Amino acid sequence: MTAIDPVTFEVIRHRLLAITDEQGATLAAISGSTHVVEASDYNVGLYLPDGSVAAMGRTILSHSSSMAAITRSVIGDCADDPGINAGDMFIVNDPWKGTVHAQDVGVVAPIFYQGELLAWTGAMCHMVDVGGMTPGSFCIDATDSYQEGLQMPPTKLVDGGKVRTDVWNLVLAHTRMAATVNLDLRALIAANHTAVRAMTALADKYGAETVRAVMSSLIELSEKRLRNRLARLPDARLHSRAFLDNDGGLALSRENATYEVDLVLTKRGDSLHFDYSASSPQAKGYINCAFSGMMAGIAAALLPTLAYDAPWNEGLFKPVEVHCPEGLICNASRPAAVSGGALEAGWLVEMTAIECLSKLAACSDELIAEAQAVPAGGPDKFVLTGAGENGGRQTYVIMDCLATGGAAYAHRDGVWTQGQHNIERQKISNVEAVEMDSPLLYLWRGLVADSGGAGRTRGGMSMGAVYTVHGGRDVTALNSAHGWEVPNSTGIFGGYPGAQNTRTVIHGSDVRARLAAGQIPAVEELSGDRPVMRGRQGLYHLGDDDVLATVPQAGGGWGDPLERSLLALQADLDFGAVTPEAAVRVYHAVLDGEGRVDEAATLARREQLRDERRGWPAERPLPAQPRGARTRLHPLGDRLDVIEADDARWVACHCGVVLAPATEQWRRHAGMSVVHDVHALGHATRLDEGLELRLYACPGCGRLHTADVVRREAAHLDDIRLLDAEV
Amino acid sequence: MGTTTDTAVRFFVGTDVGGTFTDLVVLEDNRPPRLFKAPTTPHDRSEGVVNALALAAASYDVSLREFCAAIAYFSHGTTAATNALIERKGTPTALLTTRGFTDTLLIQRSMTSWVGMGAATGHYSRRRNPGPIVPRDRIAGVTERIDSSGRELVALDEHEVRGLLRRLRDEGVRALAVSFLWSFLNAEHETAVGRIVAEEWPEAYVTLSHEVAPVLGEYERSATTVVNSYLGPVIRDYVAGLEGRLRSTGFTGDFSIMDSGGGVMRAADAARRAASMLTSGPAGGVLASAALARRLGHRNVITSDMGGTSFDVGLIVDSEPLVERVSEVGDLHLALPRIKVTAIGAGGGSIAWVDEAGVLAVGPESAGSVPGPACYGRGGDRPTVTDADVVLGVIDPERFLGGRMPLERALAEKAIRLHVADPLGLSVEEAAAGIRQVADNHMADLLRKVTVEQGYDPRDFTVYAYGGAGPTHAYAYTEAAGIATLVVPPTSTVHSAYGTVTSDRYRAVQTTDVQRTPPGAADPAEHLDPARINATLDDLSLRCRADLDDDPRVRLSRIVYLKFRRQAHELPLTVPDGEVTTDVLRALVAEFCDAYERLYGAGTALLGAGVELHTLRVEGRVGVTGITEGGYEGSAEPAESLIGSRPVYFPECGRVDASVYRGEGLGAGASLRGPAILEFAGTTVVVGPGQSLAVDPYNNLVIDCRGNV
Repeated sequence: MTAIDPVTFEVIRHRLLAITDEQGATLAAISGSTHVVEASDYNVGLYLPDGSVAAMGRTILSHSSSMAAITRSVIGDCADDPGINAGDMFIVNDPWKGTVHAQDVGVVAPIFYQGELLAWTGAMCHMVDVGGMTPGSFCIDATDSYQEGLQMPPTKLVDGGKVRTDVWNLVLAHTRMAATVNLDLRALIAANHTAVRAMTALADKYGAETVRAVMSSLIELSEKRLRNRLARLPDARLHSRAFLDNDGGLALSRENATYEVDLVLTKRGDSLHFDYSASSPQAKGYINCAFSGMMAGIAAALLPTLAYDAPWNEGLFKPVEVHCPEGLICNASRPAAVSGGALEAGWLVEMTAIECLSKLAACSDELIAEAQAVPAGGPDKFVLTGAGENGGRQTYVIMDCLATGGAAYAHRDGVWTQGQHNIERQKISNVEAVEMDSPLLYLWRGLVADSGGAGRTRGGMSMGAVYTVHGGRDVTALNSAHGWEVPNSTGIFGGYPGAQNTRTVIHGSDVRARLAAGQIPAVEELSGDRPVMRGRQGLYHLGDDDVLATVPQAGGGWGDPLERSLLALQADLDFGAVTPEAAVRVYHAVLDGEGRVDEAATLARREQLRDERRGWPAERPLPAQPRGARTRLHPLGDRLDVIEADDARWVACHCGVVLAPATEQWRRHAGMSVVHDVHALGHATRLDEGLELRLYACPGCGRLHTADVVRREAAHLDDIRLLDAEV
Repeated sequence: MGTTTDTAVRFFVGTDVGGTFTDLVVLEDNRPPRLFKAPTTPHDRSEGVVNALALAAASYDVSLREFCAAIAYFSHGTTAATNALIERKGTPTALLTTRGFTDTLLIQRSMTSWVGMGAATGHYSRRRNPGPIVPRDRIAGVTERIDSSGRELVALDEHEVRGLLRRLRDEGVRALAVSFLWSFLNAEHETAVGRIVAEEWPEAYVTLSHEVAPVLGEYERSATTVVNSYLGPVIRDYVAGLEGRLRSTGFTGDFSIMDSGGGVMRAADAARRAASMLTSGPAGGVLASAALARRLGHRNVITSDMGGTSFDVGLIVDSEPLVERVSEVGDLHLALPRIKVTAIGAGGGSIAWVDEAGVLAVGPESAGSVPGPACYGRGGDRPTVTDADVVLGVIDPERFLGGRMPLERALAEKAIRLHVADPLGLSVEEAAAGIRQVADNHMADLLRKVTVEQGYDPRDFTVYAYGGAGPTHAYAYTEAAGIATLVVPPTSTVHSAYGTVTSDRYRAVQTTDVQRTPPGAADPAEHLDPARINATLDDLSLRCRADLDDDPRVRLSRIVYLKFRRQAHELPLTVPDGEVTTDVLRALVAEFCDAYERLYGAGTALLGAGVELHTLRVEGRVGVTGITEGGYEGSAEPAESLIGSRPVYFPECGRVDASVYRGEGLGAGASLRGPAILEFAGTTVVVGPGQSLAVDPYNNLVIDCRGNV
């Protein structure tokens, strides 16, 4: 920001953000769709002539990288033919041209000022339907992208200020909801008009050069802020692997593969390198995401974790390099099906990135407060159809699955019903609104005790619900979830995973008789058949006497659950966040006759458990303990430190025991215990046969340092490898 | 000044207790209003009110007792309810819900992790669940269930209720909130609980959800119910204390309390409707503006109130204040109609600072009133917007607040030099001008935002400015927002208090009764049931009139909310008087489509989707004061009020000599050109370079901000 005085800079900076607010308001006003107005599944922004994001709206995080990508696609594909001129706008919803999935439709516009390109502006929103084999365009049974609806590469929609009716009609001809899509398109165009007018006025007042210089400076400032932050962190290579249980649309096929999204994040100096190349090959079903979905996941993880105080723009991606060959589940090539990718592979891209960035932040006293366990690992989508008015079928999307508990942080428990990580300001509907709209009656909707992952600080509780059919005819439900046989909301630094997705269906229950008898029954009390449910259940019939109960995944825990203070545990019992049964099973409390934590007995029991852990076998013995004076360099997670002693660097437990030289994996020297019974660790009962949980404890003090979810044959997870471990 | 010892009852007094000052305005037939300010006394706010009354009595040259005895009508707005909610200092309250739904208030429709975080929602590690107003172990589920058609599915277990009540009473609970699912359709179960409470525990303060917020949406309805019970006893004590103090000082007149929905209520009703008092201060200012706008013929107005810590903006559209159906206060969402006011942290006390990257920022942190701006000399050493005004010569440190509170320019300079000028390599004056420009432009951005968000163009609006700092900055933020006309009313320094005394008595009653028309219907009105609508509106009207003591002068307005099905925006529409017929509904639907397209653009009305009518509301209003204010003194010849001139540094053109006038000396018909400074006892009005000012017949200062841009 050389030439611009700080006052002009600040005035224009604020104005640019205000322009994106006005764009967003214009978009929401005209669209009127609940996806836009309530779920805030849209974004807007102002971009430099090369497509770099200078300012963006504060709505859904996942669109932030898409907008730059589609603008660059337009520049690349349209500059020569059909040309980019004043008054033009271009539509894009091709996942291989920058959008996360085809339902996200973007329109971008160049802003010319006195004949010269001043900037770009753009707007994107999730549209209710863009065609394809399934209403709503989440094509659960798709096996290739050609079954997933209209996918527009960069196409001129407005030509010199005049809408191209032929293109407009082409878009509308492909959707089941033409009237709403029509409004959404108009909303996107109007949002761009708002920005074009406002930017022109701004250039009139301050000059085009000044405006563009402020935009560039904003990007530089954010880049600088992130790079400064990164430079103060130790160099490290971080590794996270998340599992995606089975194939999406192929729920009823014999294939039941468990896929992997695998991230190696390398932080060197002031830059980040994301490498997803060890992820699974692309799958047949709709669970893949294209490059755009991978970038969206990275953005959604990075912004709130390391850039919480910087303007969100392109500058935050300058220190970021991404490597992933095409053809993998998180960088699928055409014609892979990708319509579910935002909620599946793309989701796990975000979760792995959160885990690695958190572990990186946890190598610094300054930033450890920004580190978290893995938040909710993915929704159990719930869509209901039933005979509606006019004889047609009505579709109801029930959003309760979004009200998930947040992950634990070092300084606090996870927040209950925080909601999905990539939505900054989430809302769900009232029970009354759902009951009015759909043929459902709730028997219960509330916080699920024990759902938050156990830990010294605990994951936040998710919201569960129990439904029965009421006043509907011919009702069919559709459920589809990952995180069914795999805990996706893993804990961190010894914390346990949060709840897995759980769903109970009771056919032919006595719910009606019980209501008539003046009872509001709990699920356990009901009679009836309880069929085995699958993660990707797909469609099933729900009759008048049927009951459905759901519990979504919930945030993971932080730190050894045995270190949860007895005061906090008693408060959990008093509040109902933890049941007495789980206090005993997971936290190993001893309760007295009144159900309160017996302090002395609990401490004794915990000491006994630590003793047992001290006896866990380790692959290698502890190294000879350094004798000289120790200097603590930085934390390595929660209760491990990197220290210097005897002219070498070491990993030491807070108890004082040195586990390993910092150049080696400390897990090899820690006691290990393998668990297949996930119920012992939290609110879950199923674990994929190919997976196991490995607990690693300090041989000196018995403190649990990690609970890893890994394949049975896999090597130790090498999650934090310091690159400056040599003295 | 025509003083008199005549003790005839003739005064109408409006008061507003803010965080720093207690404002008071006295109206009298055929005389101009008089304005007073006394420091707020947080330990017992009635003391500050009495202090302000004493100032007024002195001004009329009578004793306090004589003055109070001459008050015909006393109207009061206060932050007491808002403070008690924000600080969680209400009455120990319990909530009874339908069994299975005891967590509704905790979950807050999943907004719990970010409500109240403002612009900081992106900082995830700072998220938290707000402090509860009812602890979870005092929320109890009751066996009962009504369904979405209002039918009883499970009968109320009265035995269980009695047991619960005994337990809660033993635990020290003093107030109860009862909020069952679908109670606004079928209130029998809530009513039955109310009856049982009256039998078993008559001293408990109880609020039933169908009485306080009979609308769809159990979270917002429950929150409103709980807040009402939580604040009810606090407000009951507060009002009783203040009234007792006034009565013992000789006051025998009527006593009203501000209702943030759009008027005042009898003080006797306030204890029952405590939730309606939340944020009534800003509402008073908007109402006073609406009355003024009607008088001046301004249909569309942006109200702007700049005080020490915040900048509050409201909208008046087609002569009516914009009302929200659901609003956020104290980390909760309440289903009470409330005059919409949007606030940002920008005020005279907003602190200017330079961040690590060399960017100048102003606010949102504020120096408040303690320690206050550096120039107050109370130990504040960080520069604020007010410090910038002093350095620039906009505020004369000797004559601040009529000379009652001299400021120290040297301290302002020092703070700006240290924290802004030196780090940025600017002169102190340039830095001060920068602070002003940044603050003024932020405020202009908010003016634009609140209008655009509602679907309007700010250029179609007039700006009204009030609050201690509003008139000082309005010339700049109005111009920066591209708006032509600015009005500073003569009551600008006590505008909320003026609003409390000039507002009508007001009562709104509402309910939800959803009617939907099928998709694709050519004539949606045919599918709405006029008989049902008539019955509901008639019932609401009866209740509204009854709540206003069946005063024959009551003016009723009937409002229904319409939306297109599966679309999110809803609009309130006024139902014409008389019977609602299909023809009337057809006209309403047409009006809805027109209004929708006017706001959101041609072609946006999705009539084919069908329409949904959901909330019905009846608002009743009765005039209270009926007073004819007299004209202000002052001369049409500005030269008579000219104090002199002084150099003032304007960001637009640097240092120039500005004429300085004694504001109170300017009378109707006066006009002048900027740059000019008008010094009033409570504020400083600035007319920018190239702008012009005219004083209208009511002594409003009307500034043409187009200036020379």
